[in-house]
Amino acid sequence: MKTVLIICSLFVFLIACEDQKKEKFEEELVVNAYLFANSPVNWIYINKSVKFGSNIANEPVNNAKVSITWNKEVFLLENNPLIPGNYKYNFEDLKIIPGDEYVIDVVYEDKNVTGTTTVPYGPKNLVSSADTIKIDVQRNSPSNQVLFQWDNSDFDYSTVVIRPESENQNYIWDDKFTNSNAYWLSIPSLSNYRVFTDFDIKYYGTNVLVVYSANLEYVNMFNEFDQIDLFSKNTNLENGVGIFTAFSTDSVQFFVAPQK
Amino acid sequence: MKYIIHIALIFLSLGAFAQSDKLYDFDFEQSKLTDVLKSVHLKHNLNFSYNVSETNKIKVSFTRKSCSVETFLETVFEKSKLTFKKVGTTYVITSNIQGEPVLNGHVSGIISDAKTGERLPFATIAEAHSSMGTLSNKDGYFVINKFVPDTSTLVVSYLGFKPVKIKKSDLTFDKLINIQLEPDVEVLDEVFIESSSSKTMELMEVSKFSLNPNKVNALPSLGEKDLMRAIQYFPGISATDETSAGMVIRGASSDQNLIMFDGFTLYHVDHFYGIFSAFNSEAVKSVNISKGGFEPKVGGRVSGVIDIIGKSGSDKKTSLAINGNLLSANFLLETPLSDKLTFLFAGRRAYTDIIQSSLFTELFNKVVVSTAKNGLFDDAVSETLEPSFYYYDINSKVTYKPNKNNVVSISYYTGEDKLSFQGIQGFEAFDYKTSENTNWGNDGISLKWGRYWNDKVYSNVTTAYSQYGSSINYSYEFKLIEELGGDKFEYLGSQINKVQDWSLKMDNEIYLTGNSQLDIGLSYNKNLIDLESTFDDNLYQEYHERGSLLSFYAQHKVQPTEKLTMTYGARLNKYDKVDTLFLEPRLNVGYKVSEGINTKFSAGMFSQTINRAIRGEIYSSTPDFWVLADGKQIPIISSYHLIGGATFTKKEYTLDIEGYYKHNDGILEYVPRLTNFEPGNIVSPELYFQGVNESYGVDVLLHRQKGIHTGWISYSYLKSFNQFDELNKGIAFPSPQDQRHEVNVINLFKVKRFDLSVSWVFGSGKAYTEPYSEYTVTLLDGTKKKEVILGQINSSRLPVYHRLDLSAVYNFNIGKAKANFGLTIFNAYNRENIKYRKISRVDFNKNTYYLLESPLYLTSDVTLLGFTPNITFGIRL
Repeated sequence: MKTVLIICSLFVFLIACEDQKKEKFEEELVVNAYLFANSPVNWIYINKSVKFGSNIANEPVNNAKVSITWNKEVFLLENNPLIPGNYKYNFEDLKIIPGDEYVIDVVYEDKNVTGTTTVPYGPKNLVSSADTIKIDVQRNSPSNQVLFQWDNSDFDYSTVVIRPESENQNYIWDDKFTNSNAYWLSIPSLSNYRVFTDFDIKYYGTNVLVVYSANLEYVNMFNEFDQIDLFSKNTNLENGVGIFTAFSTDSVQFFVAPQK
Repeated sequence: MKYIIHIALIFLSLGAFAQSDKLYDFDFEQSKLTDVLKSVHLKHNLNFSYNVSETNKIKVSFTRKSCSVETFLETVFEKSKLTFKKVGTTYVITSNIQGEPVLNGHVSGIISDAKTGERLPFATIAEAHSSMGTLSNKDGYFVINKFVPDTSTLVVSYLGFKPVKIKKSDLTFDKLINIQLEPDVEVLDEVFIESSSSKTMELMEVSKFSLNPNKVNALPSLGEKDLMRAIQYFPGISATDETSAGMVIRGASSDQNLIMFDGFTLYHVDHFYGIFSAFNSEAVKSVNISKGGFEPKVGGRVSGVIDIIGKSGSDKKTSLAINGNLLSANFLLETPLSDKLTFLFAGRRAYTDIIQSSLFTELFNKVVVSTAKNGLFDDAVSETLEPSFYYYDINSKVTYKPNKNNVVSISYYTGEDKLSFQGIQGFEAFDYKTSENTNWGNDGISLKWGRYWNDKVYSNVTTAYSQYGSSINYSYEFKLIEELGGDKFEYLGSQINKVQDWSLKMDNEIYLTGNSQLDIGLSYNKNLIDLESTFDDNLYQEYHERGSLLSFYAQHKVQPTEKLTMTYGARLNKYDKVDTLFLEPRLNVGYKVSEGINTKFSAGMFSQTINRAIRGEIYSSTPDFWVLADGKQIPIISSYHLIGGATFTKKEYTLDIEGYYKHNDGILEYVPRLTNFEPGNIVSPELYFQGVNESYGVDVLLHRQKGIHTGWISYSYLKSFNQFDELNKGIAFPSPQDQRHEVNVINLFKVKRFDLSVSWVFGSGKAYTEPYSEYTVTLLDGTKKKEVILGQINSSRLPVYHRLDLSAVYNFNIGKAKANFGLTIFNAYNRENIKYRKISRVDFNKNTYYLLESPLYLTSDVTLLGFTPNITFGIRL
């Protein structure tokens, strides 16, 4: 019995000590890259992730080698010295065409991040039920509605943004509960219409409603807004994080004026 | 300091194990062996068992100093026909003639409680001085076919009862006999558990033990006598979850355990979010636990089996028991309705909706509020929550015994938890109001007929129905202040979840010659699952599925030699949602190496067609739900177990060691990704990952069974890994149940009228996924969206878990009634153990509740119960 106990005790002591892997913080390269059909390539941002909980801004990366491959041809992007971490293509030979596939390559130090996206075909025939919306800021409930419709024969996901036509337009609301730094943005959905009330509009003057056809990688990222699950792949990039995706758009203008 | 005390406790216990054999002086001249044995017994306090007619025939001359008893007996018996064997602390002297077994008929009988008439399931019927024996079945029935001439006494024993010895000459052969056992309530050295160390056939089975419900009171608890919590103190079953229903057996998730009460299956076995088990121990007669490698008779799950048999009620007299504590009270009535009919009613109810003691507030805040915080404002609202919560359960059983050959019983159980709360909080611009009504619980009913056909065949037919249901109705309301118009925005949601289980079973026991038993049976089981969730009157998710399983089994228990016992057989299943039959062969072997040393081995295949889906989120605590295998998206879990071990018994100590390996194919991980946001069937292929789990480990139990100080030390070593092709690059990662080391030190003392207990639980850190980095991306409208980068799945460990629990129960009499009064202290040194580490997203400024430009992510620890005292009382008439 003594022998049995000694063997058991030895066993316990031997297995009791084990190496524990401790997750170390390592900077990840973050790519935030959007392509827009029939538009120049300029929404490409490269930066570095920060330690969890530090709640500080990402550190921009200005000296990465960034390229887009289209039709087996490589187009090298240039760093924009005016905006930290921003890259753009300054020539017109890189076309963003619906249905075509694009590959991004980011080389920085020993990291090489790649990702692929295809440009969606996009919404067509966007129409608005009204050209002008009157807003009564004294009212407690929405008083006006506008219907926007478009063709979505490809059953693409779409997301809608309302933004002012220019940067110096007057902000309508005087409260702290809406984010004045952001425009109005809808949740991606498969529908082909959207109804807005006057409460959804943020700026007086000419506003632009843009319908973006979005790929699944964008929809997935957007939906993760409300949850973190352990298993979803929250990036479509290899060796890095963030997103590389493409949109096709249609837009319509409408005018916002105060109710008199 | 506390570590030193506990390490000392462990080594004190170990030291007692290592006592060496003593030497004595002998001096006898031509004395009758009978007189010699009596003299040695009186002088040296050694125990002998012998047949006087044999020992009277022998004269002994033996003089020696410093001689062991063994040498003395060997020398004395050298030229005689006698031999001896040490059984426990007794030297058993028998005739040396090893003749053929005498097959002069068989003994069959029914074992029951002398005071109440309750039939005693799984009682041990062993032949004294040999390893032959058997167990009674669920109805207390047994058969012994094989006797060896000189070992002619039957010893019948059952947990918490005085053993009965019956001489062969007193037995009635070929006729059903009644054996009644007296409760052993006054004896100090009662055995709390019956480990697999016994010499009888059944108890040599691997990974099986039974628990005495009457003795659970002696263990520290949160106030309620809690069977499930008591089970967790044994090796291989995790006790660090603190929910009595979180029954993690050898690394398997709790849905892989079959939990039966009087033949019906229960799917949810707790009250108060797992703090208390759903079983009223007053209504329970027997609990049998199998941690793996179970026999072909049992199926439907791949990890463990907990088989609970309810009391039938006394057929002798009416008896009443009342127990209470600061949270709940329970009541038991058992009475004979006629000489053939008994009735039992047990009810338990928490009065937490009427009196909200500080204990309730502590439990509620820890268990409900801290784990449910999920909304944007809940941190603020939780301080204003007004909860109304209670639970209840009812057990009722009618048993009809028209004659010795038949027993019919109807058992009914219902239990429910009801929680409702609402909170309101005013902010600068609006009031936020939340309310929730949640009900969940089980119902079950079974009709069972046990029939003794003849001395060779015993049958049981059981038909049962059980239902687990939960419903949640919740609402959120934002009301703008009057200056902003006073508008109200209300959101309503609900979820209804129901699992139904119909079953019909027939079990036949056929007693063959030579202590061999053939069990054959058939079972049919149908599951119906319905789940619906709505939000703002829109159907959000739904799942409706039905499936039935037909199973046939055959198993043969045999004891070919005195040292070898074996159960082998197979279970054949036909599941209606897949085309193939699946066969599950199983084998259990026990081999007695020498007196006090038994070895055991088990191998077998198992399957499971019902599976509980658990969300893979780490951000919220959403309800789980059950799904049925369809052979495609939801696989049938198939498993095999390999288990080996040994049991060493010396004096009052038992050391049990088991090593095991388990492989489960078809485990499920539910991931509510994109489609979570749109109405639809919950079983969409992209929502599930199928994978493999491998668990292996060692369970060690050192048990002191007798004396004023009893108890045990258990140690569990576990490695459990999951592997999914689509996750973690296909590399295996620790499963959520992976906890490498767990130690339980349980000390029970009987000091005069006091039952005292001190228990200490230690567990190494559990696996979790640690976020290590964060970044932001800009959305189309300019919003900054913050993302989190998680480390390797479950590659980090939470801090170690440990706690000390104390209890003291004072037993006294009030007239003829027996009463007790007790104090329990859970987590005596107020250790802050962590249940899980939560990631929270903060969208609003904590002080102003203005929207932040970019949300913050924070980690926080959800801690388990701190120092929690409770007072208990009980009276039995």
